[in-house]
Amino acid sequence: MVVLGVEFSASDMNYVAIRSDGDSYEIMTSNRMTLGGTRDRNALVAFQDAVKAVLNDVDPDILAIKGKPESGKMQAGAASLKMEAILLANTPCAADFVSGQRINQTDDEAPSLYAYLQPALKTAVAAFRREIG
Amino acid sequence: MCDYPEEIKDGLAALETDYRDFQENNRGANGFLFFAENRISGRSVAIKFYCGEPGERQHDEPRQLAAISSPNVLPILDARMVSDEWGYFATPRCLDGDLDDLIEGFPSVHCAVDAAIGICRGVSAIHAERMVHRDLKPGNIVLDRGAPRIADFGSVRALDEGEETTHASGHSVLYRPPESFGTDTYGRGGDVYQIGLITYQLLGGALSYNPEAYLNRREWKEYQEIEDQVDRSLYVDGVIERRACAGRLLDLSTLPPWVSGAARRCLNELTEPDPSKRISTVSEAAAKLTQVRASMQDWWWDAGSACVTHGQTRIEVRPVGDGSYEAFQIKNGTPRRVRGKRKGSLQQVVQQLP
Repeated sequence: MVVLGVEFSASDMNYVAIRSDGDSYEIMTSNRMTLGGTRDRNALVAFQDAVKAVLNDVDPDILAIKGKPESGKMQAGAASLKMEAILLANTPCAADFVSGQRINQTDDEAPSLYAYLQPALKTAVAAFRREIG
Repeated sequence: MCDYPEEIKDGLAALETDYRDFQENNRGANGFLFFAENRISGRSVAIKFYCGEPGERQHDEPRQLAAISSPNVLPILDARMVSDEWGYFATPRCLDGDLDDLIEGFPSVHCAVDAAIGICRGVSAIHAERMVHRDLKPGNIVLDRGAPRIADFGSVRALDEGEETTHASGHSVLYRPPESFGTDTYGRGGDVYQIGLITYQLLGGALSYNPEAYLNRREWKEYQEIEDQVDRSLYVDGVIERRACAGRLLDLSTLPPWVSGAARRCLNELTEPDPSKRISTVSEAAAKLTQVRASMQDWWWDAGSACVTHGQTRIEVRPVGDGSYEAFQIKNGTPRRVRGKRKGSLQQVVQQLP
């Protein structure tokens, strides 16, 4: 099973893909993508092309997205919402929105990953643990 | 059309029932390429005749092309055999030319990076089918309404079960990844390397198609003493190979001054001669390129001036004689010198701007 964990932060999409055959997992790939502009059609198309390249490469069974409120004081920004929409529209699999509470129950960290990628890893691991029960 | 094999003449005659206005195209390597228009739909198509010994791999090119579904890979419309050895397949004709045409027209920074990301998307679809392209170069990528489409599948190879590499292609020595020279192996990282070279060209980096341009003075002298044309060609290939293996094929100083440090680092990572240190997947390359895109303003060339837009204001860096440049602000069509900015080289003026 392959889980692609994603966290949106400002105009960045941080992702970590994990692969597992049982209870343990290994990190397949990780990186950061940046959306160049929220009202620039070409920037959105380029971001979509890059997202599709990742989805082709990773071929996830589950897309795990760190949930962000769409309204209220802590609501996601325009860039986050647009990146999330592009990702959801292009993903070939089911999406699991992982709450902050579920992420906090996961203490997994990978020293090999940058600090900014740890939330995406935790998101992927939380979705993976729910899947295997 | 009288110099073609009889099978092609017969094939073209049969195609005339459905197509008209045939035009030959001399860019088609490894076969014969024609453009034509469908008599009913009016759609312009490219028809490629290819030859192969009867056997399992005879129809690799159309089969591999048909296996890929991506907006950045040319789709196949039809394929038929015209004899035991000859067959043809038809694809849509892309009227916007190829990536060489785009490069010659000096695309804007964002247009260049967007094309590179589009190529990554197409190649990721090829890699997802456990195939490698092996011959990515501007001439093999056509443009369809601004989007790049990988067109030539003559060098594509499927990776055997459990294998991550295959034999290297003998095509286009300029684009061959360094590891393919010594070991004759080619993996997904080879395609990443070729995307790196193409991205460098798209951003304005110089990569001459004249092999003699790669010779230094000593090599030029040795080259002049070689009489046989084949030996000359092999000599130049050796020079290019050594440059590629030493990581000296690209000259980042030829890039325009607005190409950011992040972009230059990315180009180095894409074209790193050691494949174990190179960006290993096209998805990683695409992700890096989105960061590169965001790190640069959308500069472009317009009639000798370097231009960029800041909101409603257009800035032009114009040549003002004696090799120096000066920045002008264009508002309502009226140019005014940008206050507080000195004349200087293109790089000096661009670096003074916000």
